[in-house]
Parts: sequence; C-alpha cells; structure tokens
Amino acid sequence: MPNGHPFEDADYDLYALGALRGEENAAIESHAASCQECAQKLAQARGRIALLALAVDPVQPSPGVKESLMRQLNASAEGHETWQRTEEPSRVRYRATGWWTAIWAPAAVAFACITIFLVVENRKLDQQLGGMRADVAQLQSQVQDTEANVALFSAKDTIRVALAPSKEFRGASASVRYNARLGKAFYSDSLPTPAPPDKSYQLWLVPADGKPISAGILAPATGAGRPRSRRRRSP
Amino acid sequence: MNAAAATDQRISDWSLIERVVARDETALAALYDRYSGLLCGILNRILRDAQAAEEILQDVFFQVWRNAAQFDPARGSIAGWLVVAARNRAISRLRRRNLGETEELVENTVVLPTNIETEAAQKEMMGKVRTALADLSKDQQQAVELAYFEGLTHSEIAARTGDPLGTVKTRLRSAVESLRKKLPAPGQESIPAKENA
Repeated sequence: MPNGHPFEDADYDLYALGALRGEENAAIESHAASCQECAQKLAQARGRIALLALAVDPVQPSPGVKESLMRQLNASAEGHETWQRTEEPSRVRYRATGWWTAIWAPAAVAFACITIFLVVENRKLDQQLGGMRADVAQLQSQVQDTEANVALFSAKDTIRVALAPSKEFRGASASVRYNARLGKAFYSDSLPTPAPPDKSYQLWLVPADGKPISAGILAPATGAGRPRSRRRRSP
Repeated sequence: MNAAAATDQRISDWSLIERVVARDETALAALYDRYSGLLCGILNRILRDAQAAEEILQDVFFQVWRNAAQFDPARGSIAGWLVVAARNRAISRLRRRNLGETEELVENTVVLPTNIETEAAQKEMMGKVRTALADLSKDQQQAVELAYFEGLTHSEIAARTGDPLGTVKTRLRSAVESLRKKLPAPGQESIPAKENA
C-alpha cells in the first residue's frame, strides 16, 4: 500500500462514490479518523465525486419551494433561541413518523372500536342462537310427540278403553288409547269441574295378565309429570 | 440563477453562511438561488420524481439554516457539502434506507477541487466533468452512473449488469483513476478565505 497507508487514492474515490461494501467503508472511515493525511484525501475524493453532479443539466425548482422554505425559516425562528439543539430529535422523529402516525393512530382507534363492537355483537348473537336452539329442541320434541300420537291413533292394533267414572268426578268421562306394540298410551278426559289443583293422580294400566303398568302422573296445578301422550279435550 | 442571485455573485459562500448564522434569511435565499438549480438537477436525475426532489431540496437548505453555526471553513466547501448531502438523501430515499441522524450538515468534510460559487464557474466545470465522463468507456460510464445516480455497490452493479464482480471492480477503479486525472486537482480556491459581504 502507498507510503504505509492501507488504502490507495482510488479507494477514497470508490468510497465517495458509494461502491464499497459496509465493512470496506468502515475500514476507510476508521483509518481516516486517525490519519489526517488520509482524512484530507477522503475529503478531496468526496469533492471530486461531488463534481459528477455537474454532468446533469440544472433544473430550476418550482417557485413554491423557495416560498415554502422561507415560511419554514420563519416558523422555526419564532420564539425559540435554543431550537437548534432541543428540537432536533423531536423533529427527526416527527419527520420519520409524523405522517405515519397521522394515518395509523386514527386507524388503530377505529380498529379497536370495531373490535369491541364485534365482540359485544358476537355475545348477543351467541345468546340469541342459544335461545333459538332451545326453541328448536322444544319444537322437535313436540313434533315427536305428535308423530307418536298419530302413530298410536292410526295403528290398527290400538285399543280404546273407557274408564268408569268415580264418585269424586261425577259426570266425567275418560278413556285411554293403548298400543302394546308401540308401548304408548294416550289418556283423555272430560271433567265438568277442574281437578283439585293440590292433588296429583297416578294412572295405571292393568293388563289381563301380569302386573299393573304405570302410565304416568297427572298434576292438574302445574301440568308437571303428565303422561306425554295425555290430551285434554274441551268440556 | 435568477437576477437576485446574480447580484450576490461576488459574495462568497462563507460570507453568506456567516449571515445565515446571524439569522439573515436573505443570505440563505442567496445560497438557494446559487445552488438550487444544480441540486434540483441531480435530485431529479436520481429520483426521477420532481415532487420528491423538491422536498429534499427544501430539506437540505433548511439543514443549512439550522446548522450554519457548525460549519467550519477549514473543513471544506459549502457547495460540496450541499451536493453530497442532497445526493445522499436522494439515494437513501431511492433505496428506502434511513439516513442516520449523524448524516448531518457538518459530518462529512467535502473539499471541492475548484470553486463553483459563480454561474460561470459552474458552467466551466460542467464542461470539464462531461468531457471527463465522455472519455470513459461505455462500460465505465455505466458503472459510474449506476454507482453515483443509483447508489449501487460493486456487487450490486455486477448483479445488475451480469458482469463478474472482479470485472466491475476493475472497471470502476480504472474509471475513478481516469476521472482523477481529468478533473482539476484540489486547489486553495476550494476553501475560499472568509470575506466580508
């Protein structure tokens, strides 16, 4: 290397031109920082390469640029003697992030609001969906009951048994349709007065042979425990 | 240069900088008139975007306004720094690179080999630069242009042109050596003595 220096003169021009890699640039900068002679060569190389700008025809900028610059000077000079140092970091940050923040900050807020709205709406819809599923299940149950009753009524082997009125329910009539094959019984009655609401009634089927079979419990007050196939006719 | 700038032709860049330090806006306006055409030309050539070029142009001169007090005549020329700063900023924008905060007005010493403070000096130097570039081979011209106007390194130029890396290095080195011989050697006029406006 020339005169004990690690770099040739052309290396400084290549550095100024920007053609070197990062580590090559760092080596030159490091050496120039400790060698005044090479620092001067580097400064001259920068100047020489800067002259290449003169290969391009000058272009006059629009008049608005100078006007804007003058306004910027006035704005920066108003009311601060120390702006040169104290405002520099914030200005750099603003220039780097200002327009970005101006766009994304409102967008982020809007996104957050939309997200909250969607979460709330989702919960409401979940609740509605749960209620609708319960309704559907109830309707399906009713349809199954109805289908079972239709099968019971339409089956040729269904028998109808008229029940004898007791002393407690004078003038009442009741009957049971029973199908042993389907395992279904349908109870219907016609009562001139409502059954006492504080009582419940056990309905038994007594086959010709074998033990009595429970056909359900009637609870006039709440309707709970009624045989699923029980039907009350209008008096 | 416009008429207003022409009246300031006798005033050196350093005298204008001293007035800028004293918060004389007309001095910065004179510097702007003196170099805005040159800088806008190079910025447009690099960016090919007039609006972006004018944004950087304004930013460079605002940096001069902000940091004028830190200029040191012993460290180089205003014109040289303006060109280097404008080019660096344009390349950074072109390549989507962030220019470090250290890339400020006084960081890089730039010594121009000649004084280009007047319009006549700029035109004279323009002729010499163009002649020096025209004397390069086509391959050398292409390599220099890719490096200077697009900020490409040796390896990036090789990738762009499809030439071997060694060939590109040799080509670019011989090109800068040729330019070194053809362009003026550094003279004392590149660091003009301070004078009163």
